[in-house]
Amino acid sequence: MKEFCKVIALTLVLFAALNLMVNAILQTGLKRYYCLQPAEVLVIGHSMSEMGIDRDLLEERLGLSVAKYCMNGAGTADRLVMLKHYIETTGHKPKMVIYDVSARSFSLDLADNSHALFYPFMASPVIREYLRRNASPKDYWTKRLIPLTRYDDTRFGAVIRGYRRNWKCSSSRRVDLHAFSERLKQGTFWKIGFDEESMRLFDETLAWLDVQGINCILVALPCLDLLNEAQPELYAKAMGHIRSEAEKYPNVQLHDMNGELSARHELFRDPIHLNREGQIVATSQLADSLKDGLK
Amino acid sequence: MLPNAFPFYFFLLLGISLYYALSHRWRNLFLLTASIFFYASWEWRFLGLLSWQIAVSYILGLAIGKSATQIGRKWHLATGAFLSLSPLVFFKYFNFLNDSARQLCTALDLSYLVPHLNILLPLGISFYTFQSLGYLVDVYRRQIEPERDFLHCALFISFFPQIASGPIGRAPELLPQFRRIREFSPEAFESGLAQIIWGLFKKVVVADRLAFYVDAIYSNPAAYGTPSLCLAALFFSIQIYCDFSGYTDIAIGTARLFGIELRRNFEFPYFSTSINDFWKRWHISLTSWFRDYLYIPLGGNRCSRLRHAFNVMVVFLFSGLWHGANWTFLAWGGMHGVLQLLENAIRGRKPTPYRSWLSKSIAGLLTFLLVTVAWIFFRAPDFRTASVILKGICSWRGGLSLGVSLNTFAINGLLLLVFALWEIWIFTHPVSPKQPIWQRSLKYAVLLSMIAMFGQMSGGFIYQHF
Repeated sequence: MKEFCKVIALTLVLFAALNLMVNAILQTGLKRYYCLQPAEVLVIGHSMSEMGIDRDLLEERLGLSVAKYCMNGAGTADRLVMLKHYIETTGHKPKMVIYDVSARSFSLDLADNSHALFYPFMASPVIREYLRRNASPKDYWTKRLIPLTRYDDTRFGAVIRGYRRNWKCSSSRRVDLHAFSERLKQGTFWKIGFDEESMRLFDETLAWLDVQGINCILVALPCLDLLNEAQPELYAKAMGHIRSEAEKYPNVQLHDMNGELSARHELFRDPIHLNREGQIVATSQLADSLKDGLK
Repeated sequence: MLPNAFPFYFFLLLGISLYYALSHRWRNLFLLTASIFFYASWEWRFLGLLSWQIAVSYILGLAIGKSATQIGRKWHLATGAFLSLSPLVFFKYFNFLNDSARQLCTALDLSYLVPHLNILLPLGISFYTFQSLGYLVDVYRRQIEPERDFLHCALFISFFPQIASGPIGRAPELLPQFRRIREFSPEAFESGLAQIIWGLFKKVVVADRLAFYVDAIYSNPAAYGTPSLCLAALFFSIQIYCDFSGYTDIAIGTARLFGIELRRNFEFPYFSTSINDFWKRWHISLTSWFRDYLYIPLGGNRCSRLRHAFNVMVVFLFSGLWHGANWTFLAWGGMHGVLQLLENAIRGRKPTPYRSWLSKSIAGLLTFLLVTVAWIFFRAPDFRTASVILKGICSWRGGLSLGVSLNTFAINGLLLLVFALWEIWIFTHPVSPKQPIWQRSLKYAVLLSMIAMFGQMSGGFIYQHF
């Protein structure tokens, strides 16, 4: 009986120790990948900017330190939390925030279940508060008590990239135009939506940045022209809304890259995401236009 | 309440605490109550079926035992078998037989009016029906005395760790365990916990992660090339083993926590060197059930070659049909039967074992390949899908499509390697001396950490549908 108790106690101690140790290792990689360190320029967004902006190249071209905190699937609610989390973690306000937008920024499916992205950062009070509101009590407490349950495969990939300090798009694939045309015909493509809560949160984010005195560049990274033209009226309406929001605040500017790049099909890996070549072109163009603005 | 989800472990923790807090005379009643609660948590409406099976086993078992004449015993056994099998036949096979009859009539241009019924398959019905049937045959053969204590009989049929997916228990092994006083044994408790952890690891870390890839490919096999289809077939072999043996480990471990020993169901089946050997290692409780209650009564191998071939095919076809009411399962069983007969024809009924590691490895690899091909029929929802996969594999076209994200694919590959090495280690070190406390604790902590990090606590078990 004594031996049994020892085994149980030691197992629990070792399990807790492994949780702390492995979690610390994963956190280091993750914080590196999501650049949770003081920087002059902060890029906030989802997979479009994660794949479309090369942090190192942008830093080199701007001559300013750049942090890239982009998460696949992050909607407007998540991005506001990301901004607050960044400032809370680093204790530093960036001079400028590059915030990626698109005609699909207010589509509801983007934000579906996206709170799960933040489980690894549960140690932060901002994130904990966000998760308490959105996650189920079972999930919340499981992940709170057992840190190793907070990670998914995407986060493991981010940890490895963080340790390798690699923010480059790894895909050199080119979009299959024939297959996408078929999908357009069938109507099985990502539709433009106007979720009121997402639109309200977008406005709240811009207002919050205004109050914080942080300049914001809304960057519309390019989507494939075929996709933009699939719902022309809704596209114009969504971009018009973003433009009007940008005009509302003096510290906000909109930089739309669709006009120049969306017809260059060789830059896309799929209709929404850029490939490596596209990442270099988009980052270079963005850096050049920002440099002009900064002058 | 799945054994790979948190509610089950809350139930288990509470159950264990209460069980050992109670005096011995109340423990069986408590186990029965827990078993009924467990079964009702899936679908309370099927409690009636479980009660029916318990009643048939108890009443007919006593009736067989009381019968003075052989004819009377036979008559009671036949009645018991009929009453015991009727729900299984109706719930599992009615639509299959009905739809097959309709297809036949349509082909013959005859009218057929019996409609298709929306029947929900009760959880574990194939398992507890076979357990009940085995009990009646054992009483008939005078291998055991009929159980006079209703509580023991009810617990034997409904014992919750094994009710959903086995292992199919035998009365001579289980009933004496329910009758005796069971003390708390720290060694057995630790071994039970270790088996639960290992089973959970196999299920949630290996099987459920491989399921992502397998499900993606099997849902649209025509869209994938040969390498992807081969990989999906290979992954399914591992998925089904980890899924089913994972459940079995959890069941055996859970039962051990209550002081009950269940029979072993797997013995490294993918290290088999022949199909015959495979069936001695895979789902042992079902294979031995078919051997004892069907194959041997049919004459076994002590008969002519032709009759033996017939016996083998009957057993494998029934085994296929036991798994599911679908022609693909029948084909799967039939394939194994044919392979076993071919093996017997080539190597004889009692072949000499392979001596060199090279011949063992080649035979092992060949057996694994044949088993993997047969699993295609088991996994495919219909013959069309199975033929698309087989044609795709044979046509040697297309490249490797990951089907899942690169991260997931790479992590799965790594976890599969860890599992394979661990399994090989256990296989090659069967009788390891008792390890020091720190080593055991470290092993459990590492497994638990991997379950926490990589586990997918969502999917059901494949065999719970049988």
